Amino acid sequence: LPRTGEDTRPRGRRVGAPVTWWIAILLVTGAFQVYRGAPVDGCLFLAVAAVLAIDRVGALPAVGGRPAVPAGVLVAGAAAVVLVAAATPRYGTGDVLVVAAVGLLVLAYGWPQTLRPPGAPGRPVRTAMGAWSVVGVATCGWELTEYFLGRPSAAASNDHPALSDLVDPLLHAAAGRAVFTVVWLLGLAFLLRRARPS
Amino acid sequence: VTRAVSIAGYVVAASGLTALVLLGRLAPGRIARFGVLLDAVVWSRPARIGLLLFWWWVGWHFLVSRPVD
Repeated sequence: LPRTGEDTRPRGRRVGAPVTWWIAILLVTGAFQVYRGAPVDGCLFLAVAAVLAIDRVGALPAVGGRPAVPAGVLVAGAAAVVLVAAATPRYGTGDVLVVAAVGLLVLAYGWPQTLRPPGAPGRPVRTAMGAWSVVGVATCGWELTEYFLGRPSAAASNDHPALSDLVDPLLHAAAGRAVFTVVWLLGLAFLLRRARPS
Repeated sequence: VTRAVSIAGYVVAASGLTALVLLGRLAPGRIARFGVLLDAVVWSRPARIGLLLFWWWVGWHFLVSRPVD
């Protein structure tokens, strides 16, 4: 059996369809971000998709296990991120630095392949996959529809707000940014915990 | 009215996602809990990094990226 932290990529095997889908989703998202006028966001998605595609053909070296970070350091770091997000001007240098730092740490912690492929999913998991996919695609479809309907004019944009337009006012106040940042960090922590070997 | 319909669509979407979370908790034998579903997905690096990237981008989008006119 592979050791914990060992890369378990199926080297030399044909890239499976689900893997291809994930990379394709990132490519489409990146292209859309560029189209909507957010080239930096688009480049982030496209760059990650490119790195994942290169990795899948085995052109990147395997990396070791996850870095060990004491819980106290994580909590203190998270508190610092919330403080900066809430107490410094929005869109400022502080936000750029802490959000980018969080992204790099998440990538470093999430990249190592520490899990083995599970067996065939049972019926409840397959049902959940289908249901979450349907609701997720419908949600994205609605957001995209509203985006395109709102593009022609300011009045159209008001009639067809993007989800971001509705959430954005909540973040004008420091308290709103603090709550948002806490939820955001908890979400990242939740995702990373699910990817932790048992 | 149009704006109300637009917002209603988002409310329906959020309700659907919430319903799936609750269904997973109430009837895990029929539909897997969200965490169990994630466990079945995140073993793959592209899926894991993709999900992390999407959620990280939410923070980037609201805290760092200025709205596009």
